[in-house]
Amino acid sequence: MSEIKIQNISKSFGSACVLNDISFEVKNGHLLSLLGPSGCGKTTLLRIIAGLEYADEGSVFVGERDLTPVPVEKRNIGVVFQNYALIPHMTVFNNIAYGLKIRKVKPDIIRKKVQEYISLVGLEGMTDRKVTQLSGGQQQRVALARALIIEPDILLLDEPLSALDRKIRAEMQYEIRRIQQQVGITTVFVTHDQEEALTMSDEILLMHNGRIEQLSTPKDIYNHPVSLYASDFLGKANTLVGILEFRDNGWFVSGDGWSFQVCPQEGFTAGEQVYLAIRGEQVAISSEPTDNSAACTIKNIIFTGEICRLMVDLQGTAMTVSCINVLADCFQIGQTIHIRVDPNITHYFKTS
Amino acid sequence: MKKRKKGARGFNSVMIVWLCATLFILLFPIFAIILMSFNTSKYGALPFEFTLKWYKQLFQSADLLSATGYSLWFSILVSTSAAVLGIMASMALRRMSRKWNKAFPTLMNVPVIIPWLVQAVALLLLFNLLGIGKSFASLYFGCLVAVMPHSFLITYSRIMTMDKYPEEAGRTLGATSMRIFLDITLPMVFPAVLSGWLMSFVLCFNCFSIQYYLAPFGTYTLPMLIYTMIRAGYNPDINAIATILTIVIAIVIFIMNKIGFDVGQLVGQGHKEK
Repeated sequence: MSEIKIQNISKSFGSACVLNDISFEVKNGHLLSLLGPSGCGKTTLLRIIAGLEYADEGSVFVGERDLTPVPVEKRNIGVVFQNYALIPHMTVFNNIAYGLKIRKVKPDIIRKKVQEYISLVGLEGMTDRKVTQLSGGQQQRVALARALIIEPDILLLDEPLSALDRKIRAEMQYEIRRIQQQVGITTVFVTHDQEEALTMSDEILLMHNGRIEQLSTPKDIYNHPVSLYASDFLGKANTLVGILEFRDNGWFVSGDGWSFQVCPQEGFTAGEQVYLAIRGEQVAISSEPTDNSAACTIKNIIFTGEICRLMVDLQGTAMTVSCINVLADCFQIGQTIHIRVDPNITHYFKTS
Repeated sequence: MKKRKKGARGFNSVMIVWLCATLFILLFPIFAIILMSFNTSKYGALPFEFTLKWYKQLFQSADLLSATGYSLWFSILVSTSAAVLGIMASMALRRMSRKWNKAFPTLMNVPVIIPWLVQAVALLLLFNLLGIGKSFASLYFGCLVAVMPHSFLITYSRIMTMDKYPEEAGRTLGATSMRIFLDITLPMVFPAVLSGWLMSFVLCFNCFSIQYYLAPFGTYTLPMLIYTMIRAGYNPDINAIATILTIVIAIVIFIMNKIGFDVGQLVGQGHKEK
């Protein structure tokens, strides 16, 4: 169990630069998510940490050990792959025991340890099944047990849940987090699903085109995104174009027929054109105008379960506002509502 | 609705007649030979009278049996060599660039396209030039050249479509490349290797033209001996050996089927991907 230190990793495939000078650290026992859209280099980065791919530049440290020159089979790293990567002709027992057999552990110790890890991942009674007979969730549990049984220094998970259906995925998110915390292993988790990253991580590293966009805790990265990209990727913010103004002792971003109060941010001057990012669920809705509110018309109401999305028209700009299901009954299509934002969690970004 | 379904899935009567005619043309000669091997008449004349004398004659004359034995062990040797080389070539090619991945299988297809007779003559010229002429070595290499592409192409297509992640998982668990090959890769490609082996075996057993040109003097494989015998005058103990071989092959295919390889899998892409 040790911390991970990544220093100045760069990697190109031909002329395409996949990773550009990436450095970060994961604290001992923490779970860090590498989050980003497909093609942003997150899987390549994970494979470099695992040793399945080599970086052009930079180094990987686990604890005090420099792993950069060490081949994958000597790194002692647990990896769980997207498609489980179970050995299809082996039973559950043999898959989990494989790493120990390679290490020439005595058979009776192997049997004891496999039992221990089978109960850790909740697969009691399946020991002698063929892995091809298991469901996706069960296969993922086998893969997790197989990676953990060798007592690796760190654990790497490459989109382990993307092949599962929604319900099992939620269950496995919880399971993986529980097991990770129980074992106390430092973990890097690759995902393209922002919700998954927010639920599971101690820290999220948001990647964009081979660079680090933002590295922070889930709450911080959600409430205080550093860029328009970050605010859009985590939670789909509405983006409005407006002019930054200073009046009545406060800062405002105003557009055609609307004006929202914001907090001052460094590096901006009054009169500048900015992008204002407003999250749909951070908007306060009322039927009467209030201070600093803006009027808009409801164009459509979409029911999604827990929440309802109101598609509104803000003086010609389309916006999506969310409210919890029970409140949605007060609204009808065509009605005028007044929306207001909380300046403390509303951010604006440079247009250039 | 039901009618449409039937039309889409089943056969109509014209197709059934067509199918029966095709199967008849394909299978009748085989049945005829099996029947004739039990018929008393030397020239396959009717009426049919049951006898086992051709089998008795077969087991008394040493020629046919020893030629069969020779063909069998020789085909096993060649197809095993082809299987081993096929795996080695596929493994190597998998790690090469896309350019080679395209070029090499195309090159390997050339011996499949060129008629065996042409190949045999060309090989004989080559072996004469090398000074080994008609010998066991030239017979071995000649047959190997003829069957190797089949074994290679079947193994290669399986290895290229195979999930590579179990092998990577093996590496992260600490296995050396040899162990990964033995524990993971080989079992995963085994159905394809086996089907390649069977294909090579059958082809090698049958490749009369290559054997005829390259076998050393005094060595007779079964097809060569049958050819010689028919030239000298047809003798029904050939029917008897053909019957035995047919039954043995039918049993082998039946067993393979029972232990989980269906015939389509054997000659196709090997193990089915889920």
